[in-house]
Amino acid sequence: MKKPISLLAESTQSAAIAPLPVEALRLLSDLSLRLKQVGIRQISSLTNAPKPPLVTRFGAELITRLEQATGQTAEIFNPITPAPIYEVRRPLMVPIRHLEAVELILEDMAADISAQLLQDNAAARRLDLFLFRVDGHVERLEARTSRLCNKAEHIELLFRERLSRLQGNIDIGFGYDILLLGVYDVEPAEEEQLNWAPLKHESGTGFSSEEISRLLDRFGNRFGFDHILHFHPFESHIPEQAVRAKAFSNNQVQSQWTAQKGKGKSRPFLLLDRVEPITVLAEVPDGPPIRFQWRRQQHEIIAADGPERIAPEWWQNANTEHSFQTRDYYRVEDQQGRRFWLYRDGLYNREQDHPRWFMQGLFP
Amino acid sequence: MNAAPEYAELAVTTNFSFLQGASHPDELVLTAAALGIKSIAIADRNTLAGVVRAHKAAKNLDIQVIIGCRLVMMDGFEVICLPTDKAAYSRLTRLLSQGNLRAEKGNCHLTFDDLQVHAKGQVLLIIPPQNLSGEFELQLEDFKSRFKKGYLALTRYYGPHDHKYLEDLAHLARSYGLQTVATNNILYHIPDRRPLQDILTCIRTHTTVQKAGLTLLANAERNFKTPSEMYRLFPGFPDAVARSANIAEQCRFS
Repeated sequence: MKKPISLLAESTQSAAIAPLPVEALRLLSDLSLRLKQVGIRQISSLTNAPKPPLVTRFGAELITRLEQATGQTAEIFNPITPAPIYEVRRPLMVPIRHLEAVELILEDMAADISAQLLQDNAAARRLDLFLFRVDGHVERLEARTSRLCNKAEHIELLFRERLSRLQGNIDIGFGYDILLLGVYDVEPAEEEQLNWAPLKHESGTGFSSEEISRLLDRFGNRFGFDHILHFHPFESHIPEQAVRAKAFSNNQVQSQWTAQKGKGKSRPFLLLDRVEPITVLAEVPDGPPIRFQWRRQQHEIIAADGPERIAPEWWQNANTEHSFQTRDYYRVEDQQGRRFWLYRDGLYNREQDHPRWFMQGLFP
Repeated sequence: MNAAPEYAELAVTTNFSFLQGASHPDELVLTAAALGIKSIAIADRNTLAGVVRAHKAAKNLDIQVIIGCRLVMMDGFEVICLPTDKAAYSRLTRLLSQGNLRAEKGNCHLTFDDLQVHAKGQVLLIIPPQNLSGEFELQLEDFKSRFKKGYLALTRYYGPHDHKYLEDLAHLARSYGLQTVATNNILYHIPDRRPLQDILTCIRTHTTVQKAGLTLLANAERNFKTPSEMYRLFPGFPDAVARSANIAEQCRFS
């Protein structure tokens, strides 16, 4: 969203344009020249003058422009929409009144568009489907894709999601008589080199990146791309702030995950969503815990490493949900060989007399 | 433990290390004296400028101020150089002038070759990086081939693997024939100076605190600790802590 550059109160329009030169009224050039010859240079001298003599001398256009500028007369203009780069148009003899029929025609159109794109070795980022209703109303459906698309079935898939969202809350009226499929953003198609081995074994996850992008496209076009969150690393010493969720965007499907220098092995595999308070027996001031109770279970600690001391980020607001004290993290192992990541919130003798303990993560 | 544990802080950075240290030399001297530290070595980055104010502050106090300098080599290797007599001091100043003349103002270009020429009479204390790498080991090897004697600093940064870090360093020291010395690698006299130090880091790296991320230090532990606290922090290395006082003995020149 762009912020308005300037904002005028309702009744201050005339005052605001008063000091401007008469050319600002979008007059024909000879008219503004004639105004200047009689010494009218600023708009203010026009607004204060009586209107009838002005009309007789300079014509009606001057007054129309003046009233348009102050908002007294409405001015209608048609917005210019960019023309699609590729388009397929389907005029229909008989208007169609079912979305199922739209899907059928779409199949045909997708094949045509795909042929056009393939011919130029191009691929689409954004496609729009226009449904022209008999009474002149135009329904516009936009589909975006994270993976460059020039295959008919992919295009169909994108719009099937958008159409299924419309089902039930669209007014078809007397039906649609023209369908238009336009391609707006085009990029050169990139042929991907395929593996000799079957795709399923590519990364061990069982999905190829293409399948994942198609899934993301389906979700994005059905629920909106802002609803898909994507985790990005963020440079912070505080563990729960080292990851940020951002809205998914087409351009950066891959984010750069690199282990924080020297910290890789010290961070647990699993971070709890919310830290959980525990009761701990530990040596003062910064000895490792000896035993602790978590979720009503007692754990005897046989090995511990720490403390790793992490101070709060003093530049953040103090009223965040997390406390604003230095933490001492310990990696501990209990008798059953389970490993935990826990911390003491606050330092003895510097910040707190009775610091509390929390469980934050589990090691595999 | 002895009745009065002996400890000397040999790596003190003052605000004369431009945009690094966050405390004035006099603040540092006063705090160290109050905590019962017998001697501190003022060692700023490639300069001796902090020493004067530290000396003035120490005049009426029961504390020894050792003149020193943290020499930062062009490849990032850091070694603290403490002259033991006046001749060594003049060698150190000559070394610094040489480095300063070689670079544009504000920088100092030094190499092991320069240090080797002026090494006589200096105590050399190597400050290892927080993340030990193969590169550091190569530098140590180079160091060992040029200098007969050297010390390796042990510091508790309260990082993720402190105990392993100290053990690794002790192992390196053994294999390269160096002796370990405990130090706290001081950047400020009290933990409350951490915000200022963070801001200095931001100014140095041209960024804002919000964006600085991991360039900032994780905690506020680079301040003075009492001698008994130092012995507690280095449970397996009491001789490394005691050795700091021995080195201070060697540097009687001031």
